[in-house]
Amino acid sequence: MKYLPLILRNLLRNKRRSGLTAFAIFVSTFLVVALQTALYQFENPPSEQSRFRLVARHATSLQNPLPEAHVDKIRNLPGILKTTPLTWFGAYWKDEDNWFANFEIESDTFWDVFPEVRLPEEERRAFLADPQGCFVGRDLAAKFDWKVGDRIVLTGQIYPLNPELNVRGIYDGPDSTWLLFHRKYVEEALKTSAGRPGRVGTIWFLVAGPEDVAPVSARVDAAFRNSNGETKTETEKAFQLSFVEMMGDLRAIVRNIVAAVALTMLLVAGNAMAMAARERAAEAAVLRALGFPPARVGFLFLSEAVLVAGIGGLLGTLLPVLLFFNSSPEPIMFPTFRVPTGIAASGILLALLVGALAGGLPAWGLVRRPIAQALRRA
Amino acid sequence: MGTSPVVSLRHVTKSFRRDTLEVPVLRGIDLETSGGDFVALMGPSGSGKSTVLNLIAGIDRPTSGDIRVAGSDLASMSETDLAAFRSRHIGFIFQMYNLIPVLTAEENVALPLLLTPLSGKERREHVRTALGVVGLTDRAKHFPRQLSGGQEQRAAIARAIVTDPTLLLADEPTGDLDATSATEILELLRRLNAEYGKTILLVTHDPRAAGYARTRRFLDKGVLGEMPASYAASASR
Amino acid sequence: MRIPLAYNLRHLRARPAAAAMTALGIALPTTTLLLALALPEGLNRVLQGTGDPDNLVVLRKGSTTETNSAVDRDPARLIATLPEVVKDPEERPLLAPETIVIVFAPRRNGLQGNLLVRGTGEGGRALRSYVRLVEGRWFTPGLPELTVSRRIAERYQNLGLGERIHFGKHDWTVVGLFDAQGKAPDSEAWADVDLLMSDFLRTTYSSVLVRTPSPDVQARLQERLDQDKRLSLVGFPEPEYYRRQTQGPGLPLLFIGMFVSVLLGVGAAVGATNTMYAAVAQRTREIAVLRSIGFRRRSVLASFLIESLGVALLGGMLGCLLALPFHGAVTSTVNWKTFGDLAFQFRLTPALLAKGLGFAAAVGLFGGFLPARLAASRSIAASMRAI
Ligand SMILES: Nc1ncnc2c1ncn2[C@@H]1O[C@H](COP(=O)(O)OP(=O)(O)OP(=O)(O)O)[C@@H](O)[C@H]1O
Ligand SMILES: [Mg+2]
Repeated sequence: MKYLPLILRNLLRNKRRSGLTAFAIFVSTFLVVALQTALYQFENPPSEQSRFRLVARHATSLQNPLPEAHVDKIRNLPGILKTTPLTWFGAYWKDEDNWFANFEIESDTFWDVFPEVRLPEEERRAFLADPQGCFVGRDLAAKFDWKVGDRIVLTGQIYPLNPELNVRGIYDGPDSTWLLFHRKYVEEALKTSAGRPGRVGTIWFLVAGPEDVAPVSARVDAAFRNSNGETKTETEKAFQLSFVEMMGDLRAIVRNIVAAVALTMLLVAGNAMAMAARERAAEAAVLRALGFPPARVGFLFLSEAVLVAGIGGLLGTLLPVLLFFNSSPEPIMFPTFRVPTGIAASGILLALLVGALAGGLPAWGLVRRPIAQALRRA
Repeated sequence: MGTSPVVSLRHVTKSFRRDTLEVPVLRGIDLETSGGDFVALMGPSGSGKSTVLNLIAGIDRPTSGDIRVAGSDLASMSETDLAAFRSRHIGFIFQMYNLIPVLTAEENVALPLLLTPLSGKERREHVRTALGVVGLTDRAKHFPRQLSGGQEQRAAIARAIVTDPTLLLADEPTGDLDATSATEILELLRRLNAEYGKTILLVTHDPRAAGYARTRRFLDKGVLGEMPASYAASASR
Repeated sequence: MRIPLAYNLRHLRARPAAAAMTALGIALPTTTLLLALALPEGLNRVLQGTGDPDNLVVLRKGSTTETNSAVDRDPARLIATLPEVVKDPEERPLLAPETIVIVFAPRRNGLQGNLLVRGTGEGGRALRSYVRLVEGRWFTPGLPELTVSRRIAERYQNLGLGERIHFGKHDWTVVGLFDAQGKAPDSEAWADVDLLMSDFLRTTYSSVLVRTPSPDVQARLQERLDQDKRLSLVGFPEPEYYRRQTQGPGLPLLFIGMFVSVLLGVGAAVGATNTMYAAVAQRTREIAVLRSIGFRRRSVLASFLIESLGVALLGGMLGCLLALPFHGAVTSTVNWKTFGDLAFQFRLTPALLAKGLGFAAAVGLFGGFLPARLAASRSIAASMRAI
């Protein structure tokens, strides 16, 4: 690359402009990579087992509970390894705005299906021993400043019950923003309440491998067809996605935002390169008068743009990679945030493409312009 | 290369379009220059001297007429062919030097060599030789803005000769220089012609500069003619 | 002394491409911001614009939405006998025991929707006089028929007039379309309350909507419900009931939208900075001349800031124009209080457009500040030499 020194010197000629342009591309690439990664996280929840974990819910509405008897029926179907019910309790703490996920669990079987919820053995025993026990995710505990031993009173919104709970443990896991407590406690307290006892929200179970997903789902749904608890079974991933999609068509939104970002980035870089080309018109003519082929002159200019964009794009991709590597900046939204290689590559590629387009038009102009005319202005 | 001319213009015309108007600048130029010649092209401002140089260098195209330079018919060549032609046969020297400001003198001189298959080491040798010829060895690492006008022009000449081109085209190379520097440059050109046998076409306003050439041609009203007496007198001084 | 605006205008005209690209670069983030802000604006218009102050929504004590509420048949019958309830000309109490279910239904865009189906009756229609039938007819009590909002019919598969959708125990036929003037019922499908309840094995209503003759009487009814421990009910004036759902829905999208616009705005400001630095460099000598004539540093600073501001406002206006076609476009997001889809229109109010212009102006000033300061701070002599 005998031209590299020339390209670099030209790049550093107006350090401020190159720097600012690279910065704009850095910010834009960061945005594109971070958004796409967030979307990816939504669509691919980080759980080693998520592909083999299925969930059955009422076919008509999430509001509708399933009969408790479904749990054992599913448990006894062939192809199903472990089964546990999980019921959304829908309570808040003190204030309606203190909104978080709280579930009733079947304590004996919960860990068979959710082994990633890691609770120290001692705390687990304490939880199992206390009918009013509960355990909470580390992030949630931090948010409300809950400690082991605290007594908390929740306000039920769905059922006429305000559970009084003892925090018996703090768990770690991919999503440590939940509160979990005994299903038995709710069943006892609501014994007389209409419509509630003997019902569960969702039923979760494990199958042996990905090839079992389709046949087992079909088998479960078939088992309850035409009962008053028809089920719809899907993978954990699809189930979570359906929640995300309630907000709107996220994919379309992210796609449009990425387009807007790319266009803005193109305008900023394109304008910068156009200014550089204007200043460089005479020099380009001189190079051509010295015998540099038009393609070479265009290439030199283009490489400048691509280099600036590439640097911005590289940094913009690296930042989210470093920032989110194995950490959880916003636990509720991004459990464990990791930039997939494909998205990182697409970020850099987009930046390079923007550089090529931003440099392309001015480069074409430099090459097209009659030399004699450009020299007269020199 | 005694017999065939290095430059041969036949019935060359050139007009520029200004708005809707065709403005004729060259009305039929015939010019032949053989190898080793040193021609001064004179004429009033706006008479088309630079245009003639541009046509010979293939950076502009004639409206009509034939142009042959170093055995090539420029009319039939593409932009890319013309670039290759220039890189091999033409050394260009501008009034405003036109060095690349972000490159040092030696890097500027090395520029045309990037188009050759020479190795880095060979390129450095050629550059050293060229800078030696123009007497700028000690300023090799300076940037253009650290050089005086005369030094800049000498660096530009080094850049023009470093590929050992067939033809040197100089467009008012002394137009922006003080008298002493101008003399240095003109002496240098004469030496390049005399010692190294370079064919040189020098455009100038200045009769004294024209005096350094072996042949003088005068361009006026779009045609080449003989020197008017007033010019001839001062030129021979 | 102010440097005349004509001076800036002349320069902008001399470099129209640079000005246009800078303006367009500012337009895009402005559009993004406007669309993000139009989201809660439209949502809140639905939620804050729904409800008749004469109506009281009666729920189970402790509930704030119909989704979580359960009202047994006995208390519902008892409410009908209360003196606070307005009677219709035939001396029947004007009220509507209702139930809502959220059912999964495929949307036309292929995504799964959460359709709010309201079981209601004649009273429910009488209490919501703004809901007008626009096509077909109202559902027949006892039959699996739906009358749905036209807006919903357009957004969901199988909900067009004459089409059928399966949920509960029946295939429900759409027999009519209504228009609720953009209020909350425009996200709903209506059916016969009793049939819907039996389909979903419900023994309780979700709510009872009651008409009261005056605010005083309404307050009295609220009081009575609150006092009666046996009933365990609570009443919210209908407008308040909907207003309480305001916070929440749309917020994640608003958050993303703001985040994107601000970062994009930074990028656009950088673009403006580039352009203005080029302008300053190009006019170095002119600036020196202006200064030597007697213009103050402040005037030079102001002149460049105004130029940058002007380009930015141009971009801001363009951004508003780009966003304008979305005005009135119907979209939906989940109402986190009911978990049903809530359809709403993007709304670009004048106040919102002003915010967009303000944002663009901020980007322009932010981007133009450093170059303007450079122009103002150079000494005349330095500027003259710098050519
Ligand atoms: N690209 C162009 N477009 C239009 N007119 C042109 C162009 N190039 C040259 N001309 C015109 O052609 C005429 C000759 O120009 P040229 O530069 O060749 O003159 P010159 O003899 O070199 O003058 P000077 O001594 O001032 O350099 C002038 O009138 C000039 O305005
Ligand atoms: Mg000339």
